[in-house]
Amino acid sequence: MKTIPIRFEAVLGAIFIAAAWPKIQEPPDFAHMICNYKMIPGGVVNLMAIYLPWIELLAGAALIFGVFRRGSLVTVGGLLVVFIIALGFNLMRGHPVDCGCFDLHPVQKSPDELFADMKTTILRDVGMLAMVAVAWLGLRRECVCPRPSSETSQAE
Amino acid sequence: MKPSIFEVLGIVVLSVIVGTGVHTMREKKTKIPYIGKFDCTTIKPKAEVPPSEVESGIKPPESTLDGDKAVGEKADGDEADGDAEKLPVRPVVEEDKPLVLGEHEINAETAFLDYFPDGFAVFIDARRTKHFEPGHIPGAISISPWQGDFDEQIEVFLNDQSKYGQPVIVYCTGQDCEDSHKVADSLRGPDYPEVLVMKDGFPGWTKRGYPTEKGSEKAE
Repeated sequence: MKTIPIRFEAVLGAIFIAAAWPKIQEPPDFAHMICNYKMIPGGVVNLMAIYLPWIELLAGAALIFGVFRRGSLVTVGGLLVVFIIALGFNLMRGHPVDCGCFDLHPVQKSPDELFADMKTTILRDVGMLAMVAVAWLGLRRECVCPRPSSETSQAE
Repeated sequence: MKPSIFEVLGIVVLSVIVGTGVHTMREKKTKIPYIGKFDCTTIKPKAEVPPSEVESGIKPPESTLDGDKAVGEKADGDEADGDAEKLPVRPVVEEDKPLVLGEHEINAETAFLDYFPDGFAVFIDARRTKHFEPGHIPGAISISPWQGDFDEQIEVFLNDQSKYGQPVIVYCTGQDCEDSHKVADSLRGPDYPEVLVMKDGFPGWTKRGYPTEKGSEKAE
């Protein structure tokens, strides 16, 4: 049971690295994708396109290699919340967008297909958020270390 | 909780350092300016046009109809890069959503029949270079708003007096693509009073079986 949270961390890390790589290679396409969400001021879009994939990549790598585990889980969880809000907001206001999560050159889809994809993506992100929660709980349990017992002090 | 905040900050700072380092070393076509200048908050309202003015579906020209080949499939003997080539056409099922044309917008059929012959108009491809190179309208110039050299290319085009007064047709990947409007807005002015957007974009052009070419011509 103890290995499950660690496996979740590795899976999340791999997913985030896979998602970050195409975005790192093509910042113009990713900027275009972010712009399509119609939520971020144009001036900030390019900054997000340049840096967000690196945050994804480094957080993913940290999860895989087991460094900065708390920080990377918080980062990944935070990013997932942002993605869910962005997709949910556009779903609610009826603006179809392509997620741009892994593929920056998706095939052209009808608005109905895009809405269906957005719902699926939100569900997937919620599932990943649950994995983050399990990993976080696992991490907390690992840190419940036995306190320096009174026996030690008594022995002294 | 505090250590995790420092760790998050560490990841963010490291990302900024690495991201900046990599971005400064990028070549022009994948480099974007740090500060964007396009409007990314306004959703374009859907044009409400009377049904009589709505283009429905896509009708391929009878003369180029070839039921045995799929759209985009190369005919035998088509090999020369850069040469105009005719894509074979299959009958297109009229399942595409109606094309609603707004101000300064035309469809591919009008662009082909009224503006394409004899280089009457200048065609500008607003897609990324990597989409332009495998296929574009013959003679089109590649100017993508999402590439680092966008301003430079617009300036080159606007300073090219040989094209002054010619109609300009801008296209990208189809109905929901706004890049052609971004380019058109940057070009429209006294030197180019007629700058139009081909609303159904390159997919609309190829679906009708109109000629395309390959290559990597850029704005001179």
